[in-house]
Amino acid sequence: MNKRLVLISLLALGLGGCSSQVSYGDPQQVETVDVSFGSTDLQTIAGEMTDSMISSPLLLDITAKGRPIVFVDRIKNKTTEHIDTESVTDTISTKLLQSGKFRFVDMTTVNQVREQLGFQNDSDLVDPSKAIAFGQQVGAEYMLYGNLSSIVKTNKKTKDVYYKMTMRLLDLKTGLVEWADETEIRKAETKSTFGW
Amino acid sequence: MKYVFLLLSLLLVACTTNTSGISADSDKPDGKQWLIVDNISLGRKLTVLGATTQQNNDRLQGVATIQSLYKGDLNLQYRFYWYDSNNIQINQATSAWTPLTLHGKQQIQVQSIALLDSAKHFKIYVREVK
Repeated sequence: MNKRLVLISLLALGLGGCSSQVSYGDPQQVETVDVSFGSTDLQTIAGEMTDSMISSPLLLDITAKGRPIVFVDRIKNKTTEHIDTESVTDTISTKLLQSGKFRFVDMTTVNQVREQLGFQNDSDLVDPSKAIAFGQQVGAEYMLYGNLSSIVKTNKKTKDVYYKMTMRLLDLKTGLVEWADETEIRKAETKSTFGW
Repeated sequence: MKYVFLLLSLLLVACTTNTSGISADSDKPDGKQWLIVDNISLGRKLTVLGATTQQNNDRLQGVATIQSLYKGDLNLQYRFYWYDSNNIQINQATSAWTPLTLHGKQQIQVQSIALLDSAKHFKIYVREVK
């Protein structure tokens, strides 16, 4: 009787383990689901690029005079994967803005801004004395741009992925590259002989 | 019966993961312990030799030296936590766990720049990835 009870309990425990669960996790946790570009890689790249930019002696002169206005071009994805590079760009620019050393102009919203200013100035629905006039925005002094590339090597047991992110800060007036840096990530996945 | 319970307890133990690690503080107020080992097993394989800060332009740079006492590879992750003068953590969301692999007996320096100029000291936490 006792043995049967124990077996039933074990069976119940086993079945209980099969039910689906939803839980909250740490968004900063190291993610090792597979070797494709993941949240940890995004956080690592954004962290290293921000650290490099805010501490660079090359930018000391530029940032000492004030907060330069930077236009961030979307990072080009040269890998074979689909990667949301806008998210990488956003994370880097947000962190740089938080550091208080740079100011940013957002070119992704130009059309919406133009529509809104057109509505304020041409629709006769907005009080003209309170409408924001055209031609008051400030232009960027620098452009931040970059590339994300990868090299993938596979054999029967191993998949090795190498990511390289390059970023540059260009002075739009002179065309000189004032700062550049690279960061690398290597990830490997090995299939076990047994198991799945 | 005895074996069933033994197997069950083994199964349960196998399911648990020890996520504790080692932490070091760059600030040592009132002679408090600066290196804290929360995981004795990892503490035998790993140590933090130093956690210091230096001024880098107008930002504080944190440097910590991590040393492996183990002969094999250690798969680790570390995280810098920055604090202001009131000992309140700053930029909690932007500090991420960073993966780190230490080969046998390797010693490595890890660095971080404080995003805000209000940062005064940091704590580094190192733990093992299972």
